[in-house]
Amino acid sequence: MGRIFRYCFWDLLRSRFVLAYFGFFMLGSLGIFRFAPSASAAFGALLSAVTLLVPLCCLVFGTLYFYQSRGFHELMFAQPIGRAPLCLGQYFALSSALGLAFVLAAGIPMAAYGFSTNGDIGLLAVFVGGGLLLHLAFLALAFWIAVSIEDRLRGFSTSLLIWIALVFGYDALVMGLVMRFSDYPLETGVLAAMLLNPVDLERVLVLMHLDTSALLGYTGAAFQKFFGTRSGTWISLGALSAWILAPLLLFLRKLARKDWQ
Amino acid sequence: MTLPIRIEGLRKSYGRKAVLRGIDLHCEAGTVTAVLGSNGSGKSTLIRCILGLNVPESGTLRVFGEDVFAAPSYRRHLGYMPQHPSFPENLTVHEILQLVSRTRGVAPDFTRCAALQVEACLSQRWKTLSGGMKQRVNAFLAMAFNPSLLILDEPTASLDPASRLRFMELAMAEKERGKTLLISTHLLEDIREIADYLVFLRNGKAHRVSKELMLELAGSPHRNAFEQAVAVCLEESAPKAG
Amino acid sequence: MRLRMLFLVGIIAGFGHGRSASKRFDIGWNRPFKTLREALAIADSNAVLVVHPGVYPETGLVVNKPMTLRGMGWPALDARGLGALLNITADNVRITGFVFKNVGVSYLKDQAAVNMTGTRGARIDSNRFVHNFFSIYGSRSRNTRIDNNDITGRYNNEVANGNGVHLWQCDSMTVKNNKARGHRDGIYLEFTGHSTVTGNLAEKNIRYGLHFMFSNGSRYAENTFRNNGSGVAVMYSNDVRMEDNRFEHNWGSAAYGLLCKGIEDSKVRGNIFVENTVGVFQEGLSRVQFEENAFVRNGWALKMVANCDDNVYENNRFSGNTFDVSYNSSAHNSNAFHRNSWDKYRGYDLNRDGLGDVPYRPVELQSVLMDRYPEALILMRGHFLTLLNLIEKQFPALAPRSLEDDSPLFPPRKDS
Repeated sequence: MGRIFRYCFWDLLRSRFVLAYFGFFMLGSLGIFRFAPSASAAFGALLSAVTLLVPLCCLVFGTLYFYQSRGFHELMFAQPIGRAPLCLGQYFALSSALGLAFVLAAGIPMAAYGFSTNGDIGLLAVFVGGGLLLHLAFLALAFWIAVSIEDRLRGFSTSLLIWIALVFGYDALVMGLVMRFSDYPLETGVLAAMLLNPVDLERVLVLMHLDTSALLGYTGAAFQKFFGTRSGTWISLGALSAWILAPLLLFLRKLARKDWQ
Repeated sequence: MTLPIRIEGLRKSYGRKAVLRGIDLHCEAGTVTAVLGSNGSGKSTLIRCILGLNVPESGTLRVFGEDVFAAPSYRRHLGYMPQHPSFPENLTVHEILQLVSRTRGVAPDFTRCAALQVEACLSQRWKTLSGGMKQRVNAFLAMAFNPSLLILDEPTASLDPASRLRFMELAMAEKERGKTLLISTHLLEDIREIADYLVFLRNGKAHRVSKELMLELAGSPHRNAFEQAVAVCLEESAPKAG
Repeated sequence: MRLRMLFLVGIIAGFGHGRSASKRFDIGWNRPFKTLREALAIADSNAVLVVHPGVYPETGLVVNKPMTLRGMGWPALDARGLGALLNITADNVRITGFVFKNVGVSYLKDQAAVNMTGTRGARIDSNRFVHNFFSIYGSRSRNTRIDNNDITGRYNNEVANGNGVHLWQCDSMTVKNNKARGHRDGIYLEFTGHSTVTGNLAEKNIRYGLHFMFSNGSRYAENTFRNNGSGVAVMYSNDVRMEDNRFEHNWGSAAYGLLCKGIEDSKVRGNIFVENTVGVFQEGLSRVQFEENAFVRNGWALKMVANCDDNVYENNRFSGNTFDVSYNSSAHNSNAFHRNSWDKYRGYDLNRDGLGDVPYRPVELQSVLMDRYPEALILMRGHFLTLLNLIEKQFPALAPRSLEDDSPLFPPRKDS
């Protein structure tokens, strides 16, 4: 797995897509940090970009990468290496390459414009760490989709559907439920709902560190209290990890039974 | 003595469609076996099962005595040429060879595959290679690590006639070195010289015939006679309805 | 000009001379009087008590004759957490130049550093107040001037913390150029009419920078209210004028730049609201005019609860607010918006009269939803809500129609 990781990572560092991903994010965050009136506004705008584009790029590029590796898989399976080490090596190489591009693209402008987070290391940790976990989660999802669905077109459309569902549909559902059950105390329910979607979780985690959190009123206060506690931190970290581990395990299970045709 | 390939009762179906219905087959060391069959007869499926690319429902499959589905370590004996090879496209040929040789724990032997002239493109990235060049790297990877068992799936389908000849010479040389070969092909020219056994896949079963017997059946040393005999066998082995 | 200056100096000198005709008492460790208490006991009306540098442990002093207490070189009266300091019961008392410290917390009495009860014409100026329960406390007093004091409270919770300037049932008071921080409320006026609060800075108070109830006919202007727990609250008063104040960064889950409740026939003009959770929260407002205010980078610029009637918003500037206006009823509206500048306005001005040709509706669907279902706020900055807003922009019929600016400024003014 380590060897595959090294070679694939080295390959990806020179790939056009990763460069484009880096360049695109870099331009975006340069623009944001150049024109945003405050650090909080900059992080808010960056957050929107991250929660929208990271899932999309990871899903699309993840499935594409797996489909394109088909000949490589076939060839490497004639070598003394198992399926899981091969594909996990690729998975981690892809996550690392895109994650590195993301961290550099967000970090360089941040440093260049001297934006401090007002000593809030938590914000930086949540933003960068959460962003990386999003990469891991959505690439795992993408690999699972690609290994389960043989037909590329169907694989891509499934990726897009999942993206739409998690980025837009889920919030719409939550909104609907909040409207439907507005007579009941909803803080716990809404909190649980946010934990169940990695995009929302990352958004809320970062939001809690921004000025914007003051706008959230009592619900926000309840959230702040939850995420402020040690168990709250562990639970949200656990929820994000579950979003990585679950698709990864499903992927490995499917991989072990897959017939290459 | 452990056989290079020993298959017993191998069954495989895709969904409700049974492709292999109890294959029994073995290859002796130092022999060349050609797998023949019409489209959809299960040639590729059989080869993919031996490679561990497909997972059969039942049966045992041993390569040099090692269970194919227990661990991937048996593949160190194995050289394989897929039809459409691909690599991470930004790696150079040198890096690709390095990756494979480190995975196998064996250094590639450039001299024995000199005919493929892979040295010329060592510093080129995979994506800049021409189709023929890719096939030559592919062939190189199959043979350069001195595998005891070579599996060739339609090896010459995408080669130009000159490369095809060169490749068959290489395969012949491997045979003379005492290697075991398993070739699936449509082209009878590829196997007339080299094959010791012909395996016809028919209704999900394998039928092995030695080339001598085949020639006897043809009843004439004439080229066409052999080809006609094979064609007759192939027609018989075409999947029947039901 | 020079002549005029000389003339002024002459007047001041003459005034000082006239005062010095009254008896002077010097208080200090090497002076005739060792403590203020001794001097107060024998001083007559119109005496001048000059207190020299030093720390004087005292509690429960009473000033019951008109006189002047003057600190020279910042003498400190230290209550050591035991009780109150000065209680003024006479008219025309002036207190200046002191440091008042450590008035103790009491849950039974509103203990203060300077307390006035039923007095007229007092002047409390240029003192420092440090770590007191209440700093200046006036009740049933009139015509008092409180100016240039520097007041620092205890910075702790709401319960064991009093107000900086607390006025109750007073009238015609002037509170000017003071700094109040770290108290429960920086400046507090209840049943105190016809007063002016100007040029003060109230910051980092635990609850409100200024708290103002049942105080008709008052004016506050040119104050700065910054970083207070909940901003400024103005309640149940008529004929209030609020002009040229700055409300800055009153930011928190229950913070307002200005909280208005039950205000009628008043004027809010020329104020600047920057970075408050809610710029102005309005409940039960009637016939109030909002003119030429600037609302910049607030969560909500205006948050209106129904039963706000006949208010007029003219020539205000809105920019960089998350929500411009929220209004919790779409059925009824009698508030009017004219000629305001909205940075979110996307209209056009074909006849080039400086006013947009299509009305601007400042109440977004998003803010209506958030008002009705506050839990949904957690979806903020989510892409579904962004999408919803985009859709709403295309189909504005979804938003309440009744509330709109019929003549929005075009182009909207930029941040200054």
